[in-house]
Formats: sequence, structure tokens, C-alpha cells
Amino acid sequence: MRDLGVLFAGEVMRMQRYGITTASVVVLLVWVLTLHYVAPASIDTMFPLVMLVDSMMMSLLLVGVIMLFEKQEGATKSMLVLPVGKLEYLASKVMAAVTSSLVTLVLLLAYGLAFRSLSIHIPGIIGGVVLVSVVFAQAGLVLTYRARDFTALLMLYFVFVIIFAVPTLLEALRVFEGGWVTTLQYLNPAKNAFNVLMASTGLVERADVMIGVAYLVVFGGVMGYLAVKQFDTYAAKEIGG
Amino acid sequence: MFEVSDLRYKYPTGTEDVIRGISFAFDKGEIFGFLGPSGAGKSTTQKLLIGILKGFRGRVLYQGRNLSDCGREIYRHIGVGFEVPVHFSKLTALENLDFYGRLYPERIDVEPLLQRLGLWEDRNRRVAEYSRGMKSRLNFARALLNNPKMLFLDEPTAGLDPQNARIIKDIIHEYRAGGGTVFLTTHMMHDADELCDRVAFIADGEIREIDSPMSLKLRFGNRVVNLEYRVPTGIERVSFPLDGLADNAEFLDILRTKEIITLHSGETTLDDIFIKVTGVRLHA
Repeated sequence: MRDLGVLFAGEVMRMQRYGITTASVVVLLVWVLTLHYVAPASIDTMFPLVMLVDSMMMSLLLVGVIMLFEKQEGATKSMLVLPVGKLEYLASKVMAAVTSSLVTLVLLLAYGLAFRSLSIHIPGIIGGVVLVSVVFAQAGLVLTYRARDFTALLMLYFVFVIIFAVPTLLEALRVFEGGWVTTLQYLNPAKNAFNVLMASTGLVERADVMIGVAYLVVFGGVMGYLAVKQFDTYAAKEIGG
Repeated sequence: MFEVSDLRYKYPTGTEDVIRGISFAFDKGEIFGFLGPSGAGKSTTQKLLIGILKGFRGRVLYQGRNLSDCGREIYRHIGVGFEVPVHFSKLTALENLDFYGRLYPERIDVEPLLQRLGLWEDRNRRVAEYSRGMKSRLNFARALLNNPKMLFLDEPTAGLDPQNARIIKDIIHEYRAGGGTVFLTTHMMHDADELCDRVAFIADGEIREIDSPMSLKLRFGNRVVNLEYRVPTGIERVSFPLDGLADNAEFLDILRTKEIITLHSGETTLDDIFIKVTGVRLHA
């Protein structure tokens, strides 16, 4: 547990030094502007959508960037000869992504409540963001194992966004409604994450929220299992001959 | 300390073994050199011994225990010095060492070590601003951070000027004198000759020879004395067998009557012995 704390503190320090925190602040400002210009009637539904993009897509990307910086500098080798387990090592990266999402959430909540009359179930949105961020940070680990460099990571990221995130955003913005695409969306992790976050508004069916939570728990479990199981292969590749 | 029997390894993406049934052992307090050209399998062997490459065949015992049963506890007791830089470049040297150090139950005071390695003045500079030699010295400091019982060093003097290479070699000698064990992989025969109690020659994933540098020189060297002396037409070169040299009339006559320019025993270098034993050039 003590080691996890040290690893996590190291991640936070490196996020600052490598400009990841600055990038997150820039993204946060974009979200603030988005919420600022949203019509007052739409603020409650727009807020979970913004948090979906942040906690899902930022977590996915952030973990990858952290891992690739480490790999690029050869520091992964040094990490591998420390007396800490791979579970703690990977957990510290997931924690860093979750922390980033939570900081964004707290600041956006403060802005929304203070200036935009946001009405949302706060424990619900906090719980939702933590769950979504944990699940997609783990997915980010699995994705990163398959990326040789930043370019490859971005390509995989865009494939993920096009296949999973875009349909969910289009549906949320009511570009399409109903039909077989909506049914198919139950298989989409992004859509299930959105339903979980929307639970904090009370505007989504209870059954959809339950399905969403169950889906994310199972999907997160699979991603976590793969992240741990495939780590040795990733490490062997990183270490090279 | 370590006992390796019939070790074999194939990379997950490879088609054939890169380590082909090697066996060796080294004791506590020994400096054991693993010598070979690039791609011979020496770094792979080191990575297998420190447990960061898994899936080998054969047997590796660390202090009598199967390496696979040792778990991550082993990293409390060993220090690893990599050849390539392994630090976070946007953190300072001290921040790097502090981060790694806090993950060990025991850690040394880095100030005397950094002073000696000539890095103390630059401890608060980002590693990105370090030269290659400074990064190598920082790697060495990182390896000693947890006060290890055993050191694995991969080309510890690579990229260093003679003065800094001397400092590193002196620290290795002192470490051994204090009871430490060293597994040294290098292609620099001069370092191996100076530092190692025993060396293993590895080529194409196989060990071709294991012995002390002195024994190897005695076994593979030429027992002759090479002499150069001045004659009216230029310089004459002759060789005499070491055996019976004191009674060799021709040799004694040259010593008495000629102007000697050079006089050397015909000891061979580890470099030459390596080529003779393996048929492979070290700097290829």
C-alpha cells in the first residue's frame, strides 16, 4: 500500500513535468467554455456528456501517454527491477487517470453549480466518473500494449473513438434515435458509460443504468485481467534483446 | 550465489533459441564476467537472471532457491545497472533517485556516491541536460541505491572517459572487497581483465569457455619472449621460448652485446583468446 502511494505520487509529479497536467487544464477550459455556452435548459444533460468525453477518452489517452513516455525514456526497465508488483505498478497509472478525471469533475461541478444552476445528483456523478475512468484507463493499458509509439497509439485511439464514442455522441445529440442502431448500442462500452453518468440526472431508465453498471463492471474486469495478464509480454517486448 | 544449468531461451517473437543450453555458477564475493560481442546473448542472460525476462527453460538457482520462486523480493537485494539511460529525463537526477529510493526498504545516502561520481554539483539538473557519460554514471548510482548484495552491470564503463571509467572500476573493486558479488556483461576485454575473477566467453548463445583471465592467458598465450634490437641495417626481431631462457646462449649473447629496443613476454590478450576460442571478433 505504501509502495502504491509512492508510485502514485511519482505519476502525479511526472504528469506535471511532462506537460500532461497542462494539457488537462487546457481541456478543462474547453469544457468550461462548452458549459458556458450551452442553453440553460440543456445544462443538466450536457454535463454528463462532457464528463463522458473527459472520463472515458481522457483516461484512455492519458494512461497511454504516461506509459509511452516511460517506455520512450527506457524508464520502464528501471521500474521492472523494483521490489513492487505489477498490480501496484499498473494500479498507480489507473489512479493517476482517475485523479485527473475527478479534479476535472470537481472544478466543472463548482462552475456548473455556481454559475449555471446545474442540478445533478452529486454522489451519483462522482461514482459514475470513478467507474468510467477506472474501466477506460484499464482499456487504455490494453490499447497501449499494442502501440509501438505515439503515432500508433493515436491511430488506435481514433479507431476506438470512431467505433464507440462517435455513435454514442451522435445518439446523445439526437442525430439518430431508436431502431437497430440503438439496440446495438447496448453492446457499446461508451453508450453504457453514458447511461451510468446520465443516471445522475434521473433522465435515463433505471434498467438502462443497471445494464450500464453491470456492463462496465464486466468490461472493466476483462480489461483489468488482460492488462495484468499481457503485461509480461509487453515488458518483454519493451526490454528487447 | 547463482547456479545456472542448461538455460535456454527464445523470445516470444523469435523462431529459435537465442540462449542455447548454457551452464555456469558464481559465488558470493566474486566478480563474474560475461563476455561476448553484441547479439551474443549476454544481455539476454542478464535479463533472465534478474527475472525481467520470463519463460526460460533449464534451471536458475539464486542462493539455492529456484529463481521463479523468489518473487519480487529479489529486487530488494540486487542492483541492476543498465547500459542505456533508464531515467525520467524531465526529472532531476536527485528526484529520480529519490523516487526509486523510496520504493526500497533500505537505501543509501546518495550524496557521497554522487560526489564521487562527479554528479553532486549537477544533482538538481534535469537528466535531459546530462551528457551520455553523466547518464551512465547516474545509472551506476541507481544500481547501488538499495545497498544491494549483488550487482548486475551491463557495460558499466561504456561512453565514459578514462578518468570516470577508473572511478567506476574502483567502486566495483571496493564493492567486492566489502563482500558484494558482481555479474558483469561487457565486450570490453580490458575492463574484464582488470575486474573479473572469472570470465565466461559467450558467442551465438553458447558458452565456449569459463576460467580466470590469468588461467586463460596461460593456457592460450605463447610462452615466448619477443625481442627487438638494433643492427647496422635496421632493427632485428627475434623470439625465444620462455622455458630454459636463463640458459639460452643466443638470448644471453644478444642481451650482452646488442642495443635492446624492446623486450616483451608473449602473453596474449583476452581479446585474442576470445577470437581463438570462439572464432568471433568482439568489436564486430
